[in-house]
Amino acid sequence: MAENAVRISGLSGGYEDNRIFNDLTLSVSQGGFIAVAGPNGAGKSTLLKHLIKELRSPDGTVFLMENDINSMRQREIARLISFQSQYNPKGDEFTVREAVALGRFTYGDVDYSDAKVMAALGMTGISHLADKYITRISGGEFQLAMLARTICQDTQIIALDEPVNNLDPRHQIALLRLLRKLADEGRTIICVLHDLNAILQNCDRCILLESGKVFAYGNTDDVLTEENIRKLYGIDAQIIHHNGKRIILFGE
Amino acid sequence: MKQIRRRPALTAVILSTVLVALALTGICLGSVRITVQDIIRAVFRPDSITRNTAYIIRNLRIPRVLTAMLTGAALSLCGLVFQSVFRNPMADSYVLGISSGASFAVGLGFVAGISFADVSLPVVAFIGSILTTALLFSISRRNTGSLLLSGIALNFFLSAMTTLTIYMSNKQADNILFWTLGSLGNSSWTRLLILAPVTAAATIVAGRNSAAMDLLLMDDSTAISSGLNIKATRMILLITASIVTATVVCFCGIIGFVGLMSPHFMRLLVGPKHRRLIPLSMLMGAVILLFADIICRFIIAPSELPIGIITSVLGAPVFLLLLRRKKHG
Repeated sequence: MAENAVRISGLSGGYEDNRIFNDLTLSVSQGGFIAVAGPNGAGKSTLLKHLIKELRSPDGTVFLMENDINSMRQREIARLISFQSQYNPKGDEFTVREAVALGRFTYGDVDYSDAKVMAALGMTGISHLADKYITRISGGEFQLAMLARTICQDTQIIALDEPVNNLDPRHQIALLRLLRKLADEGRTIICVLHDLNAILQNCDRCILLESGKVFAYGNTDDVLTEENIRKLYGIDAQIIHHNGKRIILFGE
Repeated sequence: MKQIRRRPALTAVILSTVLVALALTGICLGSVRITVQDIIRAVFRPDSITRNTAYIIRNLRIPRVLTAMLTGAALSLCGLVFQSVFRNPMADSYVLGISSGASFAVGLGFVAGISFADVSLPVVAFIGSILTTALLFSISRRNTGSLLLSGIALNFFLSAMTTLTIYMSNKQADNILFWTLGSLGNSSWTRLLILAPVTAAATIVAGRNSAAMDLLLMDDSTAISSGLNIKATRMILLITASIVTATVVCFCGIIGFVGLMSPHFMRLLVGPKHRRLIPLSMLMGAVILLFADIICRFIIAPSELPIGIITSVLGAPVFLLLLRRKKHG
């Protein structure tokens, strides 16, 4: 059996003034597209921040590829997991090429990695934007550029925090397809998503969180049930089948 | 969509040419007229010109020009570091009150009896600047939006306290006043021997952290997940910039806005990447301060204006421009 990409064992953590997790335990095996969903404040983004060591965890509670993250330097962690945050550029006018190249920081070749940068931009289909300012491309193009940055970081695990928020359907589909492709190539994609239908269509597994606890975890089809949705979100949902796909309809 | 046209090499060539021209002008102009030939002779064949002329060139004019260049470069480097660490293009050792912190500490040192030539003076200045930086850092961690206003308030407070030390120390009043207005009048080879290695060491530290400074411009999560140890990097950069600020304040007093102007101009020309920005901003800072020094030496000749007045006159509009740009997002 392949080693776990992520293993969390009895994690109690969160923010200084807001403890989110109390004895959280969870294992994510290598490979696949894993969604993290749940109501606002459930701890989805906080979970990812613990994985990248932005939030401090007690020793022996968070493992990446079976390595305790507290025993690794930040650069070593960055070679196992890359992260696409909800970052929005403000005034810093990097070009797309420059911003993507920063994904190579952990390898120390930010200024000598143009081939890798262009390959990542090619994968995301935005090579033509390489020399445009990141502040002057559309939201969808920006998310693709940031995904290219994580691809450039060349890690087994890619974590993403709501990457499709505010994107039009075309860019949502493009980004989710790309994540699917990366998962099919053997990477472990852990992605916070709110759109339950997008999760049903694209993800292999789903972690449902509620108030810092795992409400349900398993194959997407098994986890996203009408009952679970009703219990977790407090809304009625009906799952219908159309052209071989499962679709969630909300409301009565 | 706007196409990128960045010409760092051309910018470097133009700035270097202007710098050399200004340096020659700075050495030639003065109460004693000097020619370019005299400069060459003074450097390579000092016996071929009068001892007075050789002395003026070698011990007065060249150290002053070099001090102006180094100080401008050092202040620009400090500006860049503070802007990167605080993620604010308006951060600068003067605007944030860090120079005033060093100045106030020096004023207190005078009141306590430390003399102008005392070797402990740079240490006192460093303590002042590092304490101010630490205070600002703690404020910015809680609320980055308030950083600038907090810095301006600190600047007012520390300037007022420096003025108080002037009143309390009649004998040293002139020296302390000199600190608050800035001057390159006391330039010497001895001081250059301290300023040059400090600036060089800080440049190496910043250069080695240039990609880290790029990442600091992004959000914490992106920087950390890229492999950056944010706390350690910020600490190293802040201590480095505080040492440089303290050294400059100690030798030249408070010279405002250079650290704001040159990075701003260079960002417009070559973009935000620090690998390019560090050397070019330092070059630009050297040009600005050398230009300002020449103006302050000749605008009311034979008297001399404090250089801080000139840089403030040049820099305040840039500050307002940045404020306007920031306001309009």
